[in-house]
Formats: sequence, structure tokens, C-alpha cells
Amino acid sequence: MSSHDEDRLAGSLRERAGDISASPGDLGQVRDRARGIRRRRRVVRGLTAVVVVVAVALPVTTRLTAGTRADRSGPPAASSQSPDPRDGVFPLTAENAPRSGAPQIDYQQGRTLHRADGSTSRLPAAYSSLTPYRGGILATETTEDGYYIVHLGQDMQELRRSRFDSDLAVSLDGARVAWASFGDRGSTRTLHVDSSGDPSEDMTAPAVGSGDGVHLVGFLDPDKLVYQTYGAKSEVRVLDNGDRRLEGLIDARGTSQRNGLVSGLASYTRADGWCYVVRDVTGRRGDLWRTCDFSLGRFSPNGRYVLAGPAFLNGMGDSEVAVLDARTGAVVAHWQRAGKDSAGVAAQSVWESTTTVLTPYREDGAWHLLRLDLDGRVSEATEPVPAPDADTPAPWTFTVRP
Amino acid sequence: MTPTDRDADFAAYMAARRMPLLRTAYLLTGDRHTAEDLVQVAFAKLYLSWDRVQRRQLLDGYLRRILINENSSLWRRAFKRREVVTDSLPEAAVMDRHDGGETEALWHFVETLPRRQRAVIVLRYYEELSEAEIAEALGVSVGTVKSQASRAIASMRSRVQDHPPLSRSRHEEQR
Repeated sequence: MSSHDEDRLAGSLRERAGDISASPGDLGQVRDRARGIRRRRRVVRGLTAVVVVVAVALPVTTRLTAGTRADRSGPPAASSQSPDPRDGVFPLTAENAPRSGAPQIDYQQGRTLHRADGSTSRLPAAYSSLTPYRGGILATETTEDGYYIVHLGQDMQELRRSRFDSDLAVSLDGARVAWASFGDRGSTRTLHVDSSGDPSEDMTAPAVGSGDGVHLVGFLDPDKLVYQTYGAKSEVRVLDNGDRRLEGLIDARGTSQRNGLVSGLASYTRADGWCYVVRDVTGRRGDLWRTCDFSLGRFSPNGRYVLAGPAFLNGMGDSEVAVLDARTGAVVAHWQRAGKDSAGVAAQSVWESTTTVLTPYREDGAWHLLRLDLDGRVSEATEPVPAPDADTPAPWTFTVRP
Repeated sequence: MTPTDRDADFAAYMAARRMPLLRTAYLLTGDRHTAEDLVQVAFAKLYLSWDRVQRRQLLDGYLRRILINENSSLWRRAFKRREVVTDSLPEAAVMDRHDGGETEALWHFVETLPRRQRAVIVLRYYEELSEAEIAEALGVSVGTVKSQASRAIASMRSRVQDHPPLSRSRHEEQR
């Protein structure tokens, strides 16, 4: 690139930055924010001290309770009584939440893969996402140089890696895994649907909207993949025998292979804000229902429910989690941050079973993995992990869900 | 210094530095609201350590480093959440530029760069910092700054040839 090109680049940046108009800074807001940061730091210091004490005490305790260790495994179990909702809403908090069983789905914490059966494996790196694949693992890794898709063998040794530019999607039976990759010059994307060892069943197609990002939403059936391009040309599309656009959706958030439903953002207006729909794609019944009160996410494994969060996603974490009936939109369960002064925020929830949801929740200087039961119960699935700063990401990465 | 003096001192500094910092934050994130939030957190953290900063001439660099660290945290979190951050609402107005799309095309290239390369490009070509200053701000070696800048520029060079507004502009320049 010549110095002329560098000048043009500098000019482009200056012009873009010049679009930012002046807005007054508010010292009061900065002070409030500073107080919140200070409070969290104090809590974390206290929590760190507790962790040290527990680490020292644990060997003794383990010997004393060795005979009851088996009692802690098995299916999740929290307190037997479901809480009473206030105005139909359950409190979302780790405070007084009992400990229940370990997660019943595979997840990564640090560089350790925890499986639902209790076994663990050491991973070569901490990955952004991962899913079982051909007896090993298919993972995505974010490095300073970009994104890579990595195939790990059964012994967790790296077999191959290549550039990619999307997330992963997996079919309900786990037999099909999809991802997108860069073209030779980084200007085109290709969608790959891999059929776990049977190349004749693989599907490949150029993603529409070359040069844009690609988000894989999920499978509608083993031969139908819903994906989304974003950037200059944002579209929700279905890859099957052909490649067609799903009209009327700004983005898609979840798919159900059980009943052919798609959840997604349908409209934004100043009057209503963000409004979401659940659409019957394969049954041709169109939009089943619409809500401007919640954002929608993924469907439960049996397709009966859909995860929901606040209508406005601020990117900083959610203050509420809800489960809605996928057919009608009726609220099945709704949890909201407890207390006006609570600074708790929920990260992305995942379905653990047809009746339980796992929600990473940051509260009082630590990440808690909350298990939310559809009857309203809240319990903790693992030990909390200190979060030294509000920006510390949740430590758990769950394997990609269908 | 009394608390009132301290706040007045801090408010004066914030008033002077807020807009430039907001513009840099916008170039790093590409989103006005995220940039506003980033700047507020950076000032909040500076506010907490205001009394401990002895050498006031280093304030700008200190604040910039907080901003970049915050942006890195935000980026990691955003990747985990798999959210598509956009400031282009369906009703958003379209920016009308009269440069044949060159500014938009170059901006699009910047937006597609990996996080660290993008930070290097913004600090070098917008903030006009030296390689040593960029290294200090990013907490990396000067060699890393050079290699990241080199990769970013090479990437842009290859894309320029594929992009009509940019290649057209280049050909016009050569004529």
C-alpha cells in the first residue's frame, strides 16, 4: 500500500470519526459507575479470601465426607419446594440458591472439557465453541490472527485446522455439523454441512452476500440449514436443495428440528421497539405469534418452549430470563433480577433438558451457573467462579446445542 | 485537595478529553452506543485512580490504555454472546457521501480487521501515534505493532484490487 493509500485510509477514519456529534459528559453518571466498580472489586476481594480458605479446608472435608460423595452425582436435584412467584415472576439470584447436580450437558471450563457422564479431558486450548465430531471434537478458536476451526481426535490431539468465519451449527441427532469458511482471498464465504464421515451426504454452497459475515442459526431438518448473512446485505436464508431467503425476518435466533419453527426479530419501530416472531417454516402456517415484550432465543430440545430475554439487548448482559410456549407465546416461567440494587446480569442461557435451563449469572463479584427449572426453582449447578471485573466473561462454554 | 476541587479538576479534564476519546472508541467498536459506554467506563476507572496519578502529563496515555483494555474485554464478551452488534436500525438514515463510496469501502475494511490489527490501524492512522506509543497503549512489543500493522496493510492492499470504488480511485490517481 502506497503512502497515498495510507493517506486515504487516515482520511476515511477521520471522516468516519467526524460523524460522531458532541454529547455532554455527565460527571454524576461517571461517579455512579465508579462506585459500582469499587463495590464489585471489594466483593471480589472478599470472595477470593473465602476461596483460599475453602481450598485449604477441602482435603480434610473430602476425607470426612468420602462416603457420601456418590450422593452428589446423578440427576440435578434442588430444593423440593418451588418458590412462590411475585406477580408471576420468580427472583433471579444466586443468593440462597441450593447446590444441585453437575450440568447434564458437556461444557468447557478453562482448558478442561467436562462431560455429562462426569469424565473430563484436557484440551489443547480454550475454544470459543465446540461440538462432538467424528469421535473427537470440532472446535472454533479465536486468535489474534483471526478465527480457526480445529478438528481434535479422540485423544484431543489436533488433526487439522483451517480459517473459518462463522459459528457452528449441529443437527438434533448430532450427525450433521455446519460451518462457514473463507474463500481464497477472504472475500467469499462457503457453507459446509458435514455428515460425520459420509462425504456423499455433505452439502456445500457459497453464502449469499459475499464479503459479509455469516451466522449459522441451526437446522430445521437434517437437510435444511437456516443461516444469516449480515453486513451490507443482511438476510435470513435456508440452505436445502437450493438456497432461498426467509422474507420478513431481520435476524433469526433459533430453530426447532422437532416442529420446523424459527424464532427471530421481525421488526423495529420507534413505537413498539424490537418485536419478535415464531414462524412455522416447514408447515407453511406463517407467523404463529408475535411479541414486543421479549427477545426470543433457542427452542427446547422437544420444541415445546422457546427461551426469551429482555426485548432490548444492550450487549452488557440480561436482567431477566423467560421461557415461553413455542406454539402460543404464553409465558411458562419468568425470572427477573431480584432487588432494585442488584447488579446481577445473565449471559446466554442454554437448554440443559426439556425442563431445565442453565444460565451463567454474574452477581456480587462472581459468576454463578444457575439451573432454572420450569417450576421456578433456582439452584447452582457448579461452584461459583470469582469475576475480578465486570468484564470478566462467563467461564463456561457449552457444547453447541441443536 | 478537597473533594469539590478534585471533582472540578476531573470534570475539566473529562470535558476536554471526552469527544476525542469517544471518536477513537467509535472507530474501535463501530457502534455509537458501545463507544459511549466504553468511554464512560474508562472515565469511571480513571476517576477511581485520579488521586494516584502523579504525573498528569501521562493521563492521556493512561486513559487510552484503559479504553483499549475495556474494548478487548467487550470484544471477548461479544464473541461469546454471538450477538451481531449493529448501529444500523431499519429506520436509520443513510449517510450520503460524495466520494464514490471510497470512505465507506475503507471503513468496511477496517471493520473486518481482527481486533488488535484494527486497534493498531486506528491508533496509527487516526490518533497518529508512533509505534512505541501504540505498543505502550496495547501493552505489546514494538515488533508486534509492526507485524500487526504490516498484516493489516497487506490485507487491505489485496482487497483494494477487488473493490471497484477503491481500485477506480487508484487508477484515477495513477492517470
